[in-house]
Amino acid sequence: METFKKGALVFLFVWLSCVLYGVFHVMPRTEVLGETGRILHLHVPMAWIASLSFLISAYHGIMVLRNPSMKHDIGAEVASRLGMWFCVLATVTGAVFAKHAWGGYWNWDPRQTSIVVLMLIYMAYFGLRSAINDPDKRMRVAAVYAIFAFFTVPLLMFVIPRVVGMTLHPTVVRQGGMDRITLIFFLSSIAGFTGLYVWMYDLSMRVEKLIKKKEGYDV
Amino acid sequence: MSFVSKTWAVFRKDMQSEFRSRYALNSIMLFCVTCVFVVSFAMKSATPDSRVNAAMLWVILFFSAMSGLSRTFIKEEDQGTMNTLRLACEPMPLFLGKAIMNLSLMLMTLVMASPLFIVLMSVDVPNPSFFAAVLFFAGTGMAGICTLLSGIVAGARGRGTLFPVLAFPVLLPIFWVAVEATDLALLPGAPWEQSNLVLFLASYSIAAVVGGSFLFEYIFTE
Repeated sequence: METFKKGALVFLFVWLSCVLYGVFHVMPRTEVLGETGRILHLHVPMAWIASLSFLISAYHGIMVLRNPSMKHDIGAEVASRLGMWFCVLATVTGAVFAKHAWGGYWNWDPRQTSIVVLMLIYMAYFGLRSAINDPDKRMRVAAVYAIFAFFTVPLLMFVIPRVVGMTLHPTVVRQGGMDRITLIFFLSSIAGFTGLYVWMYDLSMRVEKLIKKKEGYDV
Repeated sequence: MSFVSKTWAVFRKDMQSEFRSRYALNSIMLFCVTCVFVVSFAMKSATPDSRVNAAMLWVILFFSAMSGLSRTFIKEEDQGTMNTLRLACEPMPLFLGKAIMNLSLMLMTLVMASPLFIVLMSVDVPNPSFFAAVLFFAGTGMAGICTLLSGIVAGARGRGTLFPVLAFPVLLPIFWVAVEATDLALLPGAPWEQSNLVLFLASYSIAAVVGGSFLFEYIFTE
């Protein structure tokens, strides 16, 4: 298992290096967005991982409520912590792109709103966790908040924009406006960063479990 | 006791203690009235457009709700009556009773604050029915969500500051749609063509109360 993990890690490193090199040197500039279009290959994976991480956190939350165990609580916390960092990266890369494409770092576009709300939920989640001493209560309360807050994100992303109005955000993939080589790099980038996330998640889980073991919990 | 009578009993107990102390009502009302005066004073004779008026009204209502509605369970925790409630009542009727109590508080605030806002800011409301519907459903949603969040923060440290932080992301769908819809209600035109907005507020409120009443069990049971 250890050799497999090491091999996978080397592969991941090579893969991501190739993707990053390709995004800047091999891939042609995009038609509408020009050079700024390259940020897509960093920005979209970040946003995707932030959402995926939130989903994982909510899954662990549901498991905590069904059957309270330290293992799932650690899972929820680790997923949220990583998700928060990716969320910050997605927000920043998005703001940089927005400055060039729409003329302002921030204009409360529905996608921007949903990603920043995701970030606020993560922050509130950690605020809540650090405010409760009893581990058993903290586990359940944090899970309830994560699940409850989770429902607002798809609403902000998909429902409210339809109810109140338009979005500026480009929908390149859906319109089929991406040429073949760009699409290949796009998908490889998403796959590469997801791999990176899995590695980070695994590592954090192991660290957290060791810490909890040292504190005398059975995990 | 049946489910309904338990819910009613919780509501009645809270109403009675509220009428004796007037703590929540006073704090939420005074806060709200002060806010309206501050805004009105700062704006003096300026005539903001409908969007700015809608935004200011909802900022005032949001923070008023934060100051008053968080009390429901924090109060029980402070007085040490939380365990009595645990013995006397199941989670779901308790949650619904508290939610109805919060809803009444919120409605009282709306009934007081919005006419005051309209008068002091000299706002025209060409579509009063739409305006009232938006206030009612957005208020219902805020009351329901704040009830669950109050239960969540009741056992936490530093809950006074934690509460708005927790509430903002969850209340944002309501806040967003409510500002848009209030803007429409303050403009001349036929806002009922956009009844989607009210429908959204109503369904989100119902979903929040139903979801909250199920989730509440997990934080309430020790």
